[in-house]
Amino acid sequence: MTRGVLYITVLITGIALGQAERPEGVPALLEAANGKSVRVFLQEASDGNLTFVPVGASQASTIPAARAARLEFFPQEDVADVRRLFMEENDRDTLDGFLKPYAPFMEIPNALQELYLLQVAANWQERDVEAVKQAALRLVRCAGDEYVQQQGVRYAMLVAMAQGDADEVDALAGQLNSEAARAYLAAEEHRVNGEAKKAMEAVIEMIRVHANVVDWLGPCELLAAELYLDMAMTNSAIETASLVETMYADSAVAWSAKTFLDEWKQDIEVE
Amino acid sequence: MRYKVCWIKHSLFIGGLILLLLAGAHAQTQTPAELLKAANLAVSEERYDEAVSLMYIYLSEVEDSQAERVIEIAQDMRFQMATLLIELERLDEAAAVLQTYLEQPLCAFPRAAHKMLATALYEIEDYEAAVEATLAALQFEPESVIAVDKDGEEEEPDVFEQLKLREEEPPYTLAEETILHLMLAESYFTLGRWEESLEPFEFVIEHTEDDQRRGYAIMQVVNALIEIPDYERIVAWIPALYRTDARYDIRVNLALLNAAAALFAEGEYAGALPLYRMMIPRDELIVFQEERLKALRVEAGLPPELGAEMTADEKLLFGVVDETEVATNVKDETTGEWLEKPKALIEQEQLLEALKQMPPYEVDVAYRMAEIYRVVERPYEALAFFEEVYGVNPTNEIGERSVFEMVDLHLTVLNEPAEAERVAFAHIERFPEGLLPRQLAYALNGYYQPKGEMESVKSLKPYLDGMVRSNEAAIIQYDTELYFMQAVADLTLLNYAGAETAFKYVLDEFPDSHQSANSLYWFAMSKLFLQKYAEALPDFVRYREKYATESYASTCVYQIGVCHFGLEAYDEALRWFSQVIDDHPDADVFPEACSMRGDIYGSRGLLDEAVVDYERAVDAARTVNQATYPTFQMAEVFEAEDRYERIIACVETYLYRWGEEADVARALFWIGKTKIQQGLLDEAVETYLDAIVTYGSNREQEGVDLMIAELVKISTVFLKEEQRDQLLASTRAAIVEAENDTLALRLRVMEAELEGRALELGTTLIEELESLEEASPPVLAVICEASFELEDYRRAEEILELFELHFPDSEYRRAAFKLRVSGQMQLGDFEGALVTIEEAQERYGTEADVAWTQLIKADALRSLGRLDEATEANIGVLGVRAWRGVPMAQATYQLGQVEEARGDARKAFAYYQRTYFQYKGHAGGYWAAEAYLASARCLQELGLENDRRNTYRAMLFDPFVSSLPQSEEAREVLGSAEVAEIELYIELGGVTNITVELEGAVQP
Repeated sequence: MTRGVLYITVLITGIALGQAERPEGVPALLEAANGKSVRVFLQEASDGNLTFVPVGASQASTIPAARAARLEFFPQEDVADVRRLFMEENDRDTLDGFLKPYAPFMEIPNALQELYLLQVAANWQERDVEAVKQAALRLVRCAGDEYVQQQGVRYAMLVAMAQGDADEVDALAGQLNSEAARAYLAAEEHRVNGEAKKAMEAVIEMIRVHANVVDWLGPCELLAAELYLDMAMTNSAIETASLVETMYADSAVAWSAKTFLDEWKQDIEVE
Repeated sequence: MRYKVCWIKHSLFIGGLILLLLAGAHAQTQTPAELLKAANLAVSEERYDEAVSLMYIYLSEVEDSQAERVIEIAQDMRFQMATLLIELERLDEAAAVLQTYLEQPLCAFPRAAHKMLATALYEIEDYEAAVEATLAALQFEPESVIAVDKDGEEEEPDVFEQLKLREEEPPYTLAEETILHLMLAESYFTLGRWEESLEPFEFVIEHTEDDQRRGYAIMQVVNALIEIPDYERIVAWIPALYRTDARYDIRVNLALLNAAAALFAEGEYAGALPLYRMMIPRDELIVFQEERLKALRVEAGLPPELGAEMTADEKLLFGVVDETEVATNVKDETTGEWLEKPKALIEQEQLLEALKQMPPYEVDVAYRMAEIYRVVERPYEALAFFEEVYGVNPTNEIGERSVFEMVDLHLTVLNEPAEAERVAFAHIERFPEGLLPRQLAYALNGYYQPKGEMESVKSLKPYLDGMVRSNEAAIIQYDTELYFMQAVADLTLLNYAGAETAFKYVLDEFPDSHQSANSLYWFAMSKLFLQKYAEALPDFVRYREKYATESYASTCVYQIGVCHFGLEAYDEALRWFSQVIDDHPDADVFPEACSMRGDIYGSRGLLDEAVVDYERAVDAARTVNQATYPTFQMAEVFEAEDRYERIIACVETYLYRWGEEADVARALFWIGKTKIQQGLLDEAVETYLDAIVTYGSNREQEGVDLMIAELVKISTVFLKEEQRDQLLASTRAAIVEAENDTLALRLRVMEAELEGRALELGTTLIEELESLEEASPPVLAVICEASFELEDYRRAEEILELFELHFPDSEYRRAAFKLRVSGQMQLGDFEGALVTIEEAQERYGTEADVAWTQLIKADALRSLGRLDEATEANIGVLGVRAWRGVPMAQATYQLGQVEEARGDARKAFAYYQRTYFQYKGHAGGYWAAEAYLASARCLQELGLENDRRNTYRAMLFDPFVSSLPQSEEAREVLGSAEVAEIELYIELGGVTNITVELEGAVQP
């Protein structure tokens, strides 16, 4: 009996100790640039560095973020569900709440970046410039995933355009790695400058010459919808946005197109 | 890789048969063991056909044996034999052997056998069987291998045996499974079982490591979905296809084209558009595929170069004469044997050849994309692609369609006529032949005409003239229509002379066309507008004779009446108007005919008859205008007869019937006027004032302005001082209460008119009103009058434009024309003045109060040195009855000025002299005085000093001019003594008959 009580006491103490020893942070599997993986509790990512506590260690380590090839997170929520709630029901709260702990580490390639890009798209749709700027800075540093990194440059440029920072726009343009991206952002810049016709010409050039670069074509076509609205060609705007929603179904640009259409419908109802 | 030995299948089969017979004969002497040994030896020596023959014999020898060992050996032999048959491409035999193998017990390699069977059946294109075999292979589990006891009874599977089997034959690799799924999918697809093909294709897409294969599988999914059809799922698959290199696969590219066309036909643009976008241009695809072909040739041990010419003996041997034909054999240079090319290489060569034979399809793709963009209302994108297509070939079918679409888009969607003209005119200039240039011009015409932009319609004329004529019916029809539209534009622009010429052109150049009847009618109408009644008349008559059933036939009866009316043949006119009234009661012009006949009756004093016709017109009126004229004409008649209650009745009927459309203000004007005549002055004033306040806010209600004028008249003529003061007070109160600038300005004008200070108000308003947008015609008129008085022409152009825009038919517009012309003359803008005058003359013709137009026109022409035209213009004044009097005096004087300008002082003198002889009583002697002075000037020029002095003397003796300011010049020249003498002489009652006779003077 005594032995049994002792065993239970030791077990409870062990559990309690175990709980007390578990470090705070985001649990993840960190794949290093050299191919090795280590289980860690991520602490923070700032100034190009990544700080984490390896499982079992008591001290935090800091490495250049560029040395981390990939992160694998272990969210308890169903990622597909979070995504569906956002895409289909516009549930921003669930998306934001879910991404909050992971957001600081988005400069390192990971499977949640796609969700993060949805969040950035949503912030841009709401013209939450500061939030987009912060996100873009992270994404721009994501050297391990070209697509994500280029999206970072895209949003950083959009922010700079919105803020009228021409020097920053020029500096960022140098980081674009394709003609298609340059063509699309040139169109965006014309639009910001109130040159709708020129912007449309740039969009058309993009569609004609880079029609197969789908990563950039989607945003460019959505821009066409916005330009048509600017030019008071409502039917064209709606048709274009609807086509974008269908053609790029289940993507961030499709969500933006859907939101564009929803906002238009609301405006119509108000009128 | 070496080529396999090439055997002609047919020969092989015959050879095999012979061997089988030979072996069979020999086998009769061999035991099964010997046969087995011989077969193994044949295999080891690669004598496969012989080995197969021996195996067939062996199997027939032992087929009845129940011995487990014998069954086991026979099964092994079947498996080996199937392998050989596949190697020998005797696939149907292989399939049969494998079928038996799988049906018999003790098969050691069932999984491999299933796979081989499926492959063989697929290769021999027995797709139904291939589906069964592939499914069997994929669903195969070793447990299905049933043990058989000695008695042939089935036993429970031995677990350890199964494990052993698994070890001997491991499960399919992922690559094998992928191939099996591909075969299954393709079999389903070929059998048209589209839905069933999707799952295995999706397996391939998910698991294959070959990007080309993945792309191909996606493409087949798309094709299957088109067949189902399920367009939403197609759209979902397209992004995946985008991301593979399969787009460079020729078959995929061709399939894309078909798929896109199918989607386009179904109106599934969201699916069709990205598919078209994915199409790789033909030349780019050829380059890519040639590289691939080179790689395949290298892989097959051939030189990478393509298209080496065949030698003459090769051509003779194989009969390959068509270079496009792909050879399936190739001669091995080392052995001299004819070897079969790998299947993939043959396919690649065939596909490449097919691709090269195709015309470049990207232009068609661009056209299709343009069409889609157009349909989905993305005009700018559509324009870009139409332009691209047009740029490649502007004269083929899609090139021509493209340029038309571009013009149409600019016009109907983007509302960019200038761009449309740029595109259309450039094409018409380059390609003036055929239907298209006409269609382009017609499109432009169709845009301008409904908008009333007739100047733009006229701008098409040079391009029409530049088109190459043709006898083709469709082209003639277009030309007829386009030239007809030109004539209509002239008519609408009030260029009646141009319209007359243009309609005649249509009649002459396109006789018996679909527009001949219309052209004849409007040709006659143009002449009618030019008041060429005598010339118009026979054309209207001709229309009735030739086109008795056409739309204007009954209208022509009326117009014939109008012509007679214009020719002052009123009896004839009456007869024709009566014909309309009697025979064409449904004609559009019936109310007008009634009104016209009413006017004739009225002019003859037949007022009751006139009223009957006016009432008939009112009853039949289909538009408010058709009712307004006869209503107020009736009012005039009733006023003349003092039948005021009838005025009230007809005006109230008019108001009741036409409601808001009616000219309410004018109606109230008549009601007020009636009350005045009835002596109900206070009521009349109240009616007018109420109506002015009620309707005066609407700048377009010109009847309000009539009432203001009438109220001013009443005030001056009828009202007592007390009543006038009351009216003035009410007007001022209304000004204070007026919430609308238009009303306030109208009331201010009325107030000023009542107080006799309209000029003063005009002067104030010139400065006060920055914008004249709220000013009604009388307000503009007081500004005009003040401006004219002050010679301040700053706002002349603005005021005239306002009239043009808002009050084109206002009577007050005349003042604006005059002010504008005077301003232009003051600035020396004689050409501009002539343009304005032309416009005024088109509007007012030779009405009495616009004589100034002709006089200033003559003066402007003189100033421009166009002296013959100036003379003609001045003479034009003399020929108009309505311009007798002062205008003629001025015209005669101006004729002298023209001659003076020409340097012909004698002729000038004659005109001046005629002026002061004939017109001294006009304009207070102004022109006579001017003429005296001008005469003196001419005589001085001629050196006739005595005559000059006589002229001055005559001037002082002339009582019409002697007191005018101009006579000061005569007094100065003659001197005070002679002037005093003349004045004394006149005072004493003396007269003079001094005249100057000029030798050689030309009498005008």
